Amino acid sequence: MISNFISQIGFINLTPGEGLMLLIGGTFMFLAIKKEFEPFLLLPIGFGIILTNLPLAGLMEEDGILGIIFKYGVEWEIFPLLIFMGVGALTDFGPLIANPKTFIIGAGAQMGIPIVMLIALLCGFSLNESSSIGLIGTADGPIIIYAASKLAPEIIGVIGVVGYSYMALIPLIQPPIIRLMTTREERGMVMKQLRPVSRVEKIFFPIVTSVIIILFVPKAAAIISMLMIGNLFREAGVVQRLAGSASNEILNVSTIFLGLTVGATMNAEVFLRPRTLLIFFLGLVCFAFCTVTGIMTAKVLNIFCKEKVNPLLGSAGVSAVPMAARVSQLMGQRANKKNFLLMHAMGPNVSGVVGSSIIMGIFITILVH
Amino acid sequence: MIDWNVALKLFMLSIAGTFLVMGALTAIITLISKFIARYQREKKS
Repeated sequence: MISNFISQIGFINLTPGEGLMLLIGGTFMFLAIKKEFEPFLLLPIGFGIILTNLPLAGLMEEDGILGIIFKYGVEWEIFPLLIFMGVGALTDFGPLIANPKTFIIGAGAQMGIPIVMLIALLCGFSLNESSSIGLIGTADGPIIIYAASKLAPEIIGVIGVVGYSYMALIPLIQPPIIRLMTTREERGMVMKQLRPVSRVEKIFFPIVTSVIIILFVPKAAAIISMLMIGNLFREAGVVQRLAGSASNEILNVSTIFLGLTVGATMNAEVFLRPRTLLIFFLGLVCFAFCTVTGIMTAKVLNIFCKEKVNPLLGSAGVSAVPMAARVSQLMGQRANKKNFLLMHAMGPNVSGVVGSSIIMGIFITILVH
Repeated sequence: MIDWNVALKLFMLSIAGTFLVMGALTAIITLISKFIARYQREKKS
C-alpha cells in the first residue's frame, strides 16, 4: 500500500521533459508579468503549460476540468469566436471607412501567409499543417487558433503560443524590416488628416462588410459575423450594455479559458520536438514576410493613386492591433517629428483583421470538406 | 507525399481571392460613404 502511494506521488513521476516544460511555462509567466508581453494571454498560457506538465494530475484528460473546457470551448470553436465578438466591440473602423483604399494594404499584408505555407510544405509539414503555420501571419490570436482547430488540431497549442509570442514581439520584429524596405524620406511622409466619419457610415459598415464577405467566402462566416456583431453593438449606440458585455465579461472569460487550455495542450511529449522549433522559426518568417508584402503593397498603391500613402501604413496592415499601428507611428515620428501616423495606420491595421478573416476562410474552404 | 497541384492552387486562390474581396469592399464602402455624404448634404440644404 505504501509503495502504491509513493508511486502515485507526482515528484517520483516527473520526467526531465516535464521539468523543462515547467521552466518554459515559468518563462512565459515571467514575460507576461515582468515584461508585460501580451500578459492577458501569456499569463494563462504559461500557467496552463505548468498545470498540464504536472504528472498524474490529469487536468487535460477527457474528464479533467481543462480537458472538458478545451473540448467544449476550443474544439467546438466557441472561445475564439466569442473573443472576436469582443474585439469587434472594441474596434473603431472609422479610420478604415475614412480611407477605404487601406483595405488593399490590409490585403497585401496577408500575402506572407501563402508564401510561408509553401515554405512550410518544403520543410515537410502536411498541407493542413502548413496552412495553419502560414496563418500565424494573420497576427490575430483568435483567427490563428480557430484556423488551427479546423486545419491541424494536433498542433493547436504550439501554433497558438507561437502566434501570441510573436504578436508580443512585433515592436522588435518590424522596425529592422521597415528600415530595410523604406527610406527615411518615405517614412517621414506626412499624410492629409482623415475626414470625420458619420455615425450612419459606422453603422452601415459592419452590416455591409459581413454580407459581402460571407457572400464571397461563406466559410469565413463564423469569424466575420462575430467580429461585426460586436462592432454593430458598439456603433449602434443603443445597446451599450451589450457592447460592454461583449468587450468586457465575454471577452475576459473567453480569454481566461482559451489561454489556460491552449497552454495546457503543450505537454512535454507534444512540445519538445524539433518540429516545434521549426514552427517557431516559420512563425517569425511569416511575420517578416507579411510586413514586407504590406510595405510593398503600399508602395505599389502609390504608383496608381493620386493621394500618396506613407509606406509605413503597409507594415501596420499586419493586423496585430494596435501594436503594428503603434510601430508605424513611432517610426514615422522618428523620421519626421511632425508626422502623426497613428490614426492613418489604424486603417490598414483593422483592415488586416478583415483580410485575415477572408484569407482564413479561403484556406478552410479549400482544405476542409 | 505533397500534392503540389492543390498547394499551388491554394497559393494562387488565396492571393487572388483576398485581393478580390478586399477590392470589392473598397469599392462598396467608398460608394456607400459618397452616397451617405450626398444624402446628408441634400438633407441639410
